[in-house]
Amino acid sequence: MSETRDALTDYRRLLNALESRARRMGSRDAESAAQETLKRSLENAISQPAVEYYFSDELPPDAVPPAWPLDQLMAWLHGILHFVVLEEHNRSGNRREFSGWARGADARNRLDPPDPAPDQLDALIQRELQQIVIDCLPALDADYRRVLKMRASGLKYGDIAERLGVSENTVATWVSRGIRTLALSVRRRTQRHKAAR
Amino acid sequence: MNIDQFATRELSPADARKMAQQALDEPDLFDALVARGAVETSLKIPAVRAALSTPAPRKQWRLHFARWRPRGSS
Repeated sequence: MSETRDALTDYRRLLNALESRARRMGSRDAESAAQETLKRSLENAISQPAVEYYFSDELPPDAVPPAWPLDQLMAWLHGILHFVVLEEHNRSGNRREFSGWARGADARNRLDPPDPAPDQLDALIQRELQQIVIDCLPALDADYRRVLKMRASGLKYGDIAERLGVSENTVATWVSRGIRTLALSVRRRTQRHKAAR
Repeated sequence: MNIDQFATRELSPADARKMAQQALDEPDLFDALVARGAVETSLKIPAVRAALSTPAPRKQWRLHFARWRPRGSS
């Protein structure tokens, strides 16, 4: 209980930001959705150090930078929040659907399916983000696709430059523009998602 | 500090923390970081790499004459 209270105090600004996003996603209880998102992020062994490093009010002087870069953490937080809001919608839909015939313990069992384990949640979020990115790929020009594919398969900028006969700087620019173009489409898509709710 | 610095990983972890704090007050920056994170993370997934291999569809231009109406005719 006191741990929860500490988290609420330490991450007040993050909670406010998540709450306003949850509201834009159509949550009817945005405050709870934000708290649930923070709770799940702090329970996960990989996201926890990143949340603490980037968002705690006071950073200890000996804090070690986390394995996750900031953008990866933000995508994760968005994914969790989206999932939590979906759960909320599903629960309210189920309540309407089942309230006529399910009562007592039976109703509780039906209305509150167990939360997925952190690994399953991770997989769900990955799958959703992955689908959004795949849907946005047609927006990319062939050149950008080619360099992004090479980069994604682990080639270094120098290797890509050699294969394509251009300078490393050119490769860096193409990669950067490719990611920016794709990110813009993803952003439009996630904003449409929020607006549609 | 701006979002493009992420492409080349120019930001130090301390700068990234400052940007994280900044994103809490700027929904646009928050959205941009989410989108970039989704792309960066997805590029490591085999299904996305496979999708990158499929050729980009050719752009098609369509003219919608059927929707055209002379001014003042509606």
